[in-house]
Amino acid sequence: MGSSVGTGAPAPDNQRGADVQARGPLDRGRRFAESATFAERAGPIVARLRSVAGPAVVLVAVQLLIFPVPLGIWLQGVTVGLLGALVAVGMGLIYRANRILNFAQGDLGMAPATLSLILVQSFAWSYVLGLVAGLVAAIVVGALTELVVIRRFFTAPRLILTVATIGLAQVLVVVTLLLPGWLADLTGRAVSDVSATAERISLPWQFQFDVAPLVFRSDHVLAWVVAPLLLVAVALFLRSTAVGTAVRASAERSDRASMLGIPVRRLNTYVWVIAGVLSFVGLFLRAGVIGLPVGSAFSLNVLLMAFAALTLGRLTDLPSIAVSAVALGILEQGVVWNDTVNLWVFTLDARRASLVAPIMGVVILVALLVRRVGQTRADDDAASSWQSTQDVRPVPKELRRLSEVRLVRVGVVAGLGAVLLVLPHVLGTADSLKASAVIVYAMVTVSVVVLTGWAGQVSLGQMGFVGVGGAVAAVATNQWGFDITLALLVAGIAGALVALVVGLPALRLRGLYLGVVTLAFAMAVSSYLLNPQFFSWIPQGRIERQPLLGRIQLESPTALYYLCLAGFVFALFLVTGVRHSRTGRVMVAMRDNERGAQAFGINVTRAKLTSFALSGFVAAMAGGLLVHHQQVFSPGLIAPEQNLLVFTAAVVGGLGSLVGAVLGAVFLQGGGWFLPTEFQLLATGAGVLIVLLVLPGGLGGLVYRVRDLWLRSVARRNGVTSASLLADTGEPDGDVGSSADGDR
Amino acid sequence: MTGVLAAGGGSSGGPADGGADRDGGGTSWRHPIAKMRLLTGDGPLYGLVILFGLNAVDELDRAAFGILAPDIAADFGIGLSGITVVVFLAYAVALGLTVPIAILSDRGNRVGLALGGGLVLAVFSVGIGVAGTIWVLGVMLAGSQVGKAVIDPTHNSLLADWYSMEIRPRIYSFHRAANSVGQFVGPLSAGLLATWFGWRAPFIIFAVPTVIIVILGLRLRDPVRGARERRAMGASEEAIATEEEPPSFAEAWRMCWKIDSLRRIYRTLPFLAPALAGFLLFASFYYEEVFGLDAAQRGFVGSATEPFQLVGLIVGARIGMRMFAKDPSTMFRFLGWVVGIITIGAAVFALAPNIVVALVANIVITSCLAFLIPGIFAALSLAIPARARSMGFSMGSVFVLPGLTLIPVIGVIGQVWGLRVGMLAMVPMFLIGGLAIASAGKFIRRDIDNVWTTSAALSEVAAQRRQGNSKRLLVRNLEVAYGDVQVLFGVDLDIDEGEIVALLGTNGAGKSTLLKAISGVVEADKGAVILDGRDVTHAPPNEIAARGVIQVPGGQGVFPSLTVLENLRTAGWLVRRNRREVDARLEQVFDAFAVLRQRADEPAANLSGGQQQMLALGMAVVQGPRLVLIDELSLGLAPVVVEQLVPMVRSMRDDGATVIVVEQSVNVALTLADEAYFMEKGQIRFHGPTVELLERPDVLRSVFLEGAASGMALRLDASGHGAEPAPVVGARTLRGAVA
Repeated sequence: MGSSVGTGAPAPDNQRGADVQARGPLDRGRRFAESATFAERAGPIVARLRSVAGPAVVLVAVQLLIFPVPLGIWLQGVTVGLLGALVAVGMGLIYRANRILNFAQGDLGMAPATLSLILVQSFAWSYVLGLVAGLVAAIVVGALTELVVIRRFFTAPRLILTVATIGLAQVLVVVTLLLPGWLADLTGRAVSDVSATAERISLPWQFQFDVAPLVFRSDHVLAWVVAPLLLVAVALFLRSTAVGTAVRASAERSDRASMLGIPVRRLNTYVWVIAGVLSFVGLFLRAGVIGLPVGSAFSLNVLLMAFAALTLGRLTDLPSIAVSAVALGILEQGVVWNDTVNLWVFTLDARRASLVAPIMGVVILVALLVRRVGQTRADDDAASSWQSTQDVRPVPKELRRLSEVRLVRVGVVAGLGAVLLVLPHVLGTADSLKASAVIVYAMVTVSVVVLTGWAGQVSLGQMGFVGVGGAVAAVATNQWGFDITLALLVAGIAGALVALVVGLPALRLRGLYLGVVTLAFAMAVSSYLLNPQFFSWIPQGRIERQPLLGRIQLESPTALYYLCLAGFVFALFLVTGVRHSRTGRVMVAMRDNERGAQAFGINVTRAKLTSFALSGFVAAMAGGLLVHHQQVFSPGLIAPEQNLLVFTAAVVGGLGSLVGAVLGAVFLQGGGWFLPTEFQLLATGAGVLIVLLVLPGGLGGLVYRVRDLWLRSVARRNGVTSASLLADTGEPDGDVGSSADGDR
Repeated sequence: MTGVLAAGGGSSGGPADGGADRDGGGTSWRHPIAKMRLLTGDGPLYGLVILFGLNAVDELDRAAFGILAPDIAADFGIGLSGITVVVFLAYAVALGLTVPIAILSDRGNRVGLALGGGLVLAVFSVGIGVAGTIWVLGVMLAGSQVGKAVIDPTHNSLLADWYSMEIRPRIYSFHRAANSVGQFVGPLSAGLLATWFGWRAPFIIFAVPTVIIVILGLRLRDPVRGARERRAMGASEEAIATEEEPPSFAEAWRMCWKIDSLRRIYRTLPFLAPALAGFLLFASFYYEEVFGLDAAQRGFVGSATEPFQLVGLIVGARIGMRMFAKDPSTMFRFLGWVVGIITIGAAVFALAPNIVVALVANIVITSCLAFLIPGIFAALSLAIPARARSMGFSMGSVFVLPGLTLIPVIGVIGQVWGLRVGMLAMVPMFLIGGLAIASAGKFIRRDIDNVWTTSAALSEVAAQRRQGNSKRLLVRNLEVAYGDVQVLFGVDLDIDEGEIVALLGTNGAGKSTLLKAISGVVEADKGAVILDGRDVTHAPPNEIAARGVIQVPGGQGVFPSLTVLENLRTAGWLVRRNRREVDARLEQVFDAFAVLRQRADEPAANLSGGQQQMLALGMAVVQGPRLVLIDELSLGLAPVVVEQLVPMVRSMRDDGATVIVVEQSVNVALTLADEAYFMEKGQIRFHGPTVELLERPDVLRSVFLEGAASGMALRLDASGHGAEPAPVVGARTLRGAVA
């Protein structure tokens, strides 16, 4: 095919280095070998080594200095870290391919691993057979996930897809929880017979050796051999094979890749299958080494560690991610070991590892800030703020004066108000309490809407503020004897202060990176900062409801309901007042175009911190009401999964409006009433996926769309033209003319 | 178009029928088989009867299960909610199979598939009869649902190809009547057999007629896809007998998804399908719980209402045919009204105070439901291109699936709050479905027009091919919109092999969009893109690339984080197995652009703009393309650099490729191209030899072309081909002219 190419050799662009005319790419090795000095040759290798292993060295140094452990525990940490590296590298692979943080990474492997455990432990399958079954299940789960869910979001903004993985994680958790029941039904055994216990499973061939103070078995050796092999295989796959290069190309510019004939979507399926298998292998081998606890709390811990490794590896450097994960494993073991031995009281519950979450959170934060992750222009998409596709618009002013519209608006508000006021008298005691809970959770979702919907700051840690508010309010009423209104105010202020602190990273981080940091904060709060074992001021035991203003008794559910309603109305007024003020407009402007807003002289720092403070205030108030509603400060209230639950419920309700926030709370609590606990998670998980796919505005958006339909018919009937109503009907009118979008 | 329907309409209701067919008032007694032959026009009667039979026996099974569900539930010890879960899971499996079966059906032997499905139905029906545990029952039920999964794609596609278009409403109604017959005979016989021999007997016995029909059906032969449509267009006999190439799954999906009316129908399915499916199931529980009927009584009730289905079919077919011949969109409105009646009927049924009212409501509902599906199918058979018909008819199953999750929910509602409330819960689902169907009528005309455009374009290409004139690319009536903004308005392109064609125009004219529509990155809404005689309008971009189309996009042609060498190797993805050829082409690229060889291991982001464009062009060469689409070759590049790129483009043409170059710099375009197209505001304003473009001041209104044209007119020689490449250095480009 070497036919004539043009008339004479064109002059090269670049004359520098023209004298070193190597003939082909294969010659570069020779060129390298001929380099002059050792320093020149060693330079790039040292730099590479530093970037890969630097953070790991720092972490291990911290562990050695602050959390010293015997050698056996250290080796255990290496093992656990290697297995965690598998999960983290899977997450890194998905980031390379899809540019998202996969919140479902742990659960992709959890379901097949649980299946394997059940088969081996309760059905007496052999180790190998169980492994194979789990492998097949992992492949199926990975492929199905990509085909059914991820592919629908192929062209969606990366932030939306990340939130979709949160929903996906919830769905997978439900599957894992229901698995024993299904297997029991399928084989006719009792459910209690069938379960994945937290015990270890062991290889058929056993040998062991001692490294004080632990005994290491063949399972550990298997982990030491398999994990690095897999990691190297994945790295080589991505870098050297044609398919791996195609995957990287598709991740960067999928349109261009498909123009070249690359089956982009099919490759994406392969990537997800590989990630699922990696996750499964990591968890399965972990079951052999230290056992696999069952439950969603555990998978969140796995997730957090994977996030930490990912951020330390600057999200894309797979070797660095792997090495950092090993170091994190060592650190985690160090923290856990010292927790039980030296400094704190040894307890038998699952809170032994209480310091792990805060430390991981700090690691993530430092890594994101120091390694300057997510600040290049290429990351702009992932770091974008939450932009709902459908903002709700107020009633157009042309229509506001029509008597019909005014009547309906007043009527609806009056009607709703009447219903709300009368409700406790119609419902029974238990239902009144449930209604109060809905109202309190509505305040929490309102705070999410304020922070994420209006200001665009993704926050996955609202329950942290709720917990702080709850603790402070409980202390205020029960120990300091404050009146409940004052207590709520104080709680709110405390929440606002804490939110300000959390908001500080928001100044440098955006989008899903901020989301990860807030989640880490929430996990730190629930596991350590609000843990009564560490801080004795946190109230334990029953919390009394002191009479309001010294006179009105709050013991009855009806009185409590009215108190919650009053609090909700107060929050509503506060928030709408802010929204209609300049502060609110500034928040929305910042969400839509931060740089543009700065160009107009808006102090973005102040706006961000204000939005955090406001959101924290409302959430903390809700927390105060919640503890008085429950009359106990329970750690289950602010468990880490609750954060994701609240966020996804807010997304389902619709982040664009307060109506959506209320609907989201109804959806959240309503699910809890009608459905058993597992299905509640399914409702929010599937709900989030459906909403993101079909109803971007959520349930609230649906309500507003119906309202707009009605308004349009009103406008038609009265012959009023309202530009804002017609703008997005999608019906072309007359001459479309010059295309605004141009030649794209 | 409807005109064709009207024109063809004479042939079936022809003079031979006289009055007997038109008013059906029995003016003269006819032999039944002759009457049937009138029904089918010039299509095969035997085929219709066999398909009718297969449909009927499938319905027998399902009706039996519906009637006997309470007994089955009692036998296995599960309640209403339990059995709805089993039904849901079984339907889900069958629905999941519908699309894969449709893919097979579009490619292979439909008759064989249909008969095979019937056999599977028989086997699993026996399995239901002998099921021991609830899980075996579920598996058997799922297997027997495969029978239904086969019917939709294969039967509907066969019917469309066996029978001419204007009689299709009648044909589909007749085929649908099999459901009625099945629902009439089914409950009756099942109820009676169950009362005498237990609930297992009917399932075993029903397998017998199924097997008989399958054996009888072995005589049938598969018809040619799309022959009817091509005949109506007046194509030659040879063309009529040639089937088009079956599409891949991705292409078929995209093709069907672009049909607006179909999409609208799909959106109604999550609501309508569970309402329809759940109705029969809940009706029997309803009769049992509210009015206390036992199995035999329920059977009688079921059978009493079923004959009215036939009434509904006959009346509906009559009205439907008339509206169909006039205008298919009015038929959709008629169907919308039908669903409205169903909604009211469902509400009345749910609130019925006594069994008489309930029966009447049931009758109204079933008779209206009967015509709904045949009517929709008849209209859609015109709007779906023949080669993707099976896919189009069965894609809906994917949408039915999420809707089926509502059935257990309704089951729970029914169990907790009583069946009346459960029935009432289905009323809004009917309402939404009805509204959506009525609104689909808006789009059906446009969709039918679109199918005809594509067929016409294909025939044109085939005709040209027979004359020895091979077109590399034919674009007809292309319309592309981004959301609500339409960018291309009916664009036509004719490009022969071995040409270099320039596509000129101002900003926003739609040039890049046109290229993207050809390469498949952007999907056209209307119109056809025919590449080498094959319709690729809806093919996904990687399949079009596999046919030898390479696009060099403007400005985004390289992968920044990959090295230069990796970029080139990735570009050779489709030919990567042929290592030696790829290496040879790599050498060719490196010889042409030495700087790429020097920086082979650097990330492409480090290259300058001109070097990146060189790389992009090199990436096009590596694959050995047959059609190259170059978007903005010279954008942002110095003339010296452009001078190096032009020879590469020429060499591509010399290697046998056809090239389309989009340019704003008229100099480059005139240097390279033989033919030119000028676009403005999404339409082609001029096309012809490049030299003629300069002689058309009415077209060259815009400043840049005039200014440059005056400079260039002197440089071209008399032959008009620009054989002497005008030096690019010193000529005025766009920026030069404007500034």
